Amino acid sequence: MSPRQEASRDRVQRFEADVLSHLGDLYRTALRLTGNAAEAEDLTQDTCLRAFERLDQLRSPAAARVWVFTILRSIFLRRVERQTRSFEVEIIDSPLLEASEVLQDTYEALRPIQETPLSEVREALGRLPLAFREPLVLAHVGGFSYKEISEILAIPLGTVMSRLFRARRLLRSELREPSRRTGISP
Amino acid sequence: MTCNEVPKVIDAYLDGELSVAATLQAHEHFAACENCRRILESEAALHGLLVQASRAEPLPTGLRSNVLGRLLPTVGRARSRPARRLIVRFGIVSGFVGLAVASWLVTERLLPPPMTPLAAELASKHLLYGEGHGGALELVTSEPGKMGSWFQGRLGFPVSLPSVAKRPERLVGGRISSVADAPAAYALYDRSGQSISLFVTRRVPFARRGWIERHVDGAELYFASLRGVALIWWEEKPADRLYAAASAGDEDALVEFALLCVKEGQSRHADAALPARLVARSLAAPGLRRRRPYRSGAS
Repeated sequence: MSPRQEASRDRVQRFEADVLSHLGDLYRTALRLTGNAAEAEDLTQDTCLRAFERLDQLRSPAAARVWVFTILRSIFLRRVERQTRSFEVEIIDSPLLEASEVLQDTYEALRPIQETPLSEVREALGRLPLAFREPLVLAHVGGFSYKEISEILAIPLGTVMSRLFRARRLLRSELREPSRRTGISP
Repeated sequence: MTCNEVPKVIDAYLDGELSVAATLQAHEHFAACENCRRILESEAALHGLLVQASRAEPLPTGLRSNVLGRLLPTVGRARSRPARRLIVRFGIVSGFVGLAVASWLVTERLLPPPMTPLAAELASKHLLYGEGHGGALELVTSEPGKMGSWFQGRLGFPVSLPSVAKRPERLVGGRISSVADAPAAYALYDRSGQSISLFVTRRVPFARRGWIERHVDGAELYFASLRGVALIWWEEKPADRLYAAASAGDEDALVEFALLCVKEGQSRHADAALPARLVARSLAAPGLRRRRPYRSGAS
């Protein structure tokens, strides 16, 4: 085997170990972000291709997971920006829920929420504004820590926490009152 | 911690993002405050639903091979002339990879969703009591009999702990805890530096969705895993007991420990049900003799 062939083989092997090992979570994250299986598959493939092209930028296998999810998010955002003229990210940190509303949201909804069909949860998740959906998907599909989510989304740690908090409150409202829509969805 | 502070920390508590000290404070508050504990359970249910809804979906068939297929031209461009032999080999590798993905998919489809409120509770308590290496224990003893009497005195029902004299596990001690709001005995074991938590309570109703039922060596065990903590529960019906074991270490060792508990429970009830003269013979009964030690699929 020539040195060139050997280098190609090593590169593919490294790609399989560092990137393709996360394929399942990449696809599921893409699916929850796009809400569409075909788009999710396309987004996942584009992410992998971009990761392969830039594999030399990855310094450590330990950083691969955050790195490849950052790529996925970047490609996804570019697509969203292309599709929507006004990408209203700025509204996301406005107080969609007041403190009193949060505190009212107690355990009385436990039973109904536990029994919610998963399809309804997915639909409710899909209706959340993107800025709330993103950290929620990264936390629950990717299992990322707050710090890692903050790196992937390029936002401060405190913002990750407040968005996750608000996202879960909004989701709970959606599950309790499916007719009530939370707002924008790119 | 006060009830007003709970909404601010509850997500971080369930996400495992609180410091150990804050986790302990929160845990103490949840143990003492029924209202906040119900809020915690409700939040844990929401977290569980999100995990299930997000992770229970299968991958499209051929995704991995499609990805690898799209890489081939890139490999060629990057390395100037695509070698035919490399492509053939790549195809073979892709075939194997495709097969691996297919088997992985089958496994994924068969697996139920991973998290339940009970799993969250057991995993949190294992991390709180078990990974502190004895700091949260109320009685430190290596004698199962002494520990059992202590539990009975405080819980009001007998708690039988497995005999580990000839085993790699060592009893460290225990404390009073709760499982699904019911009072429970909590015993901590150490196996080569790995903590194993054992919870024993009266059988209580709880949602079983999300647990994987497996029959291991004749025992009906329910498995889950959360944040690196392997969890198993089983019932000892004649004694009306629910057992749960948790460990962040080797799952095979945890299964072995669970089977030890199950086996000892069966022996106790077999002994109790038979006249004294038949006890010795019951221990040699074919059903018990046929039991084999647990072997994992990988071993």
